[in-house]
Amino acid sequence: MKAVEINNLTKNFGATIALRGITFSVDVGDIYGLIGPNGAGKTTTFRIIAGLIPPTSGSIKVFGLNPLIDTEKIKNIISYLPEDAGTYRNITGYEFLKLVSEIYFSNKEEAEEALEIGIRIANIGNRIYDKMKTYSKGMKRRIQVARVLMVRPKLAILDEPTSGLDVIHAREVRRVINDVSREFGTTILLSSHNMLEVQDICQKVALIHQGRILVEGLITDLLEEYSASNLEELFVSLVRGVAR
Amino acid sequence: MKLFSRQLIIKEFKDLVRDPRIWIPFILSAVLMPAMGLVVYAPMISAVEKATVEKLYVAVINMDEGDIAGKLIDFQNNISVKSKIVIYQTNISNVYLNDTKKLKEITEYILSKYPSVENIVIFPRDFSKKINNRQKVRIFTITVVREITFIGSTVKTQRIFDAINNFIREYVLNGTGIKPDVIVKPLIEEEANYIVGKKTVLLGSSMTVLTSLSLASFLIPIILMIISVTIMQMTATSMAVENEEKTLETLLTLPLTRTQILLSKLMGSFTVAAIGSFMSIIGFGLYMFIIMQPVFSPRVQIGNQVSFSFQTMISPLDMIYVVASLIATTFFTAAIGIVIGALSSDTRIASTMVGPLSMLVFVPGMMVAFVKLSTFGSFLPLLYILPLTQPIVFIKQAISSSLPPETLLYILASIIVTIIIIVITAKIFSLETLSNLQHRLSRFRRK
Repeated sequence: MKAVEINNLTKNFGATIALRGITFSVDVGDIYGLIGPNGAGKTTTFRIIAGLIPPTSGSIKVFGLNPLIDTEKIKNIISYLPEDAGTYRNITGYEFLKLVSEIYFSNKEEAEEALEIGIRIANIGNRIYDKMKTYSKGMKRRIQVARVLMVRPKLAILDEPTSGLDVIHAREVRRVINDVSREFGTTILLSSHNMLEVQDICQKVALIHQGRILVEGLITDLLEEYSASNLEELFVSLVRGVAR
Repeated sequence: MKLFSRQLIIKEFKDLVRDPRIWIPFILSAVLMPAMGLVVYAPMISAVEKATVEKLYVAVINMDEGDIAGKLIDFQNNISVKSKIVIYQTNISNVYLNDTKKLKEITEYILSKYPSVENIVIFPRDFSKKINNRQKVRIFTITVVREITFIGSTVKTQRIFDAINNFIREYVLNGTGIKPDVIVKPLIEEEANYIVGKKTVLLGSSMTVLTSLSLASFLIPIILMIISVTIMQMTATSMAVENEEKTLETLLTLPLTRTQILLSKLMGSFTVAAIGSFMSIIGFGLYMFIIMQPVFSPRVQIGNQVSFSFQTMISPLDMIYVVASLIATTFFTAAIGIVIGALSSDTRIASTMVGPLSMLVFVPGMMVAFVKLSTFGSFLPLLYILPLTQPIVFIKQAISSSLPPETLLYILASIIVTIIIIVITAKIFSLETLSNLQHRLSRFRRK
């Protein structure tokens, strides 16, 4: 069974066409990158997979479940990090992670274990007990990444997980994503503007542009096929090709 | 140095004027305020017309040792107009006016004989003697109060006094060539009120007694208004801030249903808002207490002294029901706030919508406060259930009689109405709905 199977997915917002029939699949346990410029359709794809919005047409399966029909079941196996996820101003980071762990796990021990993992992933020291309105953008992002990964979902969808983080913290988050995927067998589906970052942690990628997938496959195979030295070069040449 | 920048003023003006959200409360207020006026005006004018035009049924206890009271009764009986005072003469010959127990017995006896009677007029023994001696004359009336309203019984009682005053003026000045208007007021008006539902006699002018009692049903919508604005503002903002601060998407992916999310938001914010509102009510209560001090001070006596208190008028159980109903209604307004917030793209639009919509909360309550409940006929059970009318109906009913045994069911039904609204909102509340609403709004703004 595939973790994610998307076939000919389209999505229209009124007259605006966000997705024009995209098809890709993600294997269980993989770290898969969806890369593309702003407005390419990455976030729309993620929202559809997470069951937040319905597609206009096409089929989608997440671990064999349909997000539109099995919405509640999907929510228990997916954890989603939106690109611009905000935080509650007057809640502390600790309180936030605690409430999320308690929502996911009714068993007290399981909830405590998840909370411990969350605190470890967030790695912001004693500041975790401060209200989140006092956090820097990077600290808020790390709390959000912790929130997503600590519940050990079968599928974690991370929309720009290192957005707003400095180089050191971005590297740390990439390490955490790798560790969680390996330790818990979590399938990761992420997007990023940073091609080098994607190349660093993903095995497979799909390049999306104007609602269409340009290429999809193993990074090594794609670089070889298009004689590119890195994903950035490959991406630029493909997008320019489309523009021409 | 200039005090202000002209460019900045123009920028501010353009920025605000071009935002359609700014206009929503102004437009809504412009439409709602006259609507509210009509809602209050229509039943008031209808009640006044009814009270002045309809026949008035009066029982008379005539103890006059002379013949003037008899002449007055004959005169009234011979008038043939639509709005005439229909008089039933009783055979009661002795009444102790200061004994409320006796007054109650007499009233109940008269009502058992003449169920349609609305007022009882008692002519004293010295009625003719005083008039003949050109002295002021006492007249005592008992207003039969079947339902507490601002207008109605009071106007009818006044009609009786006017009729007697006019008769005495004309009688005294007959043949003198002097116009009756020169005598200001030959009567000393003394009144009692019999509250049918409570089987209680309250001494005091019907104007004072009924206005005081009506004030309770009038105060409830005002208190509701104060609470509902606070609560709606808080719940709407709390929900809209999830959208504005981009926490909503996270919330919607948690393993919770949308109904669970909305109900949890409702309960959490309602609790905080209820605490805040409690403080507002205390403040409002103190304000009313302070401003009413000069009116009820022992040094100032307006009309006959009123001998009642609300504690004696409403049973403790009914009071608990009224408070429970108020809480259920504020819960409803909190839910409306959640609905507004859930469908608002940011806190600004949510706050903008709350102001005029909280006025809407006021409208049904005001209507019920001014209208006789019997007017609603078979729709009355609906008013008992609807959260916006329930506490006002309850307080009216509790003051004039007592609440029905199924009151608890009505409160439960009101809470169910609230939950149904949340469930329906949960069905339509989604990122898709919000995206579409925002998309339409941005298109409208571009235009």
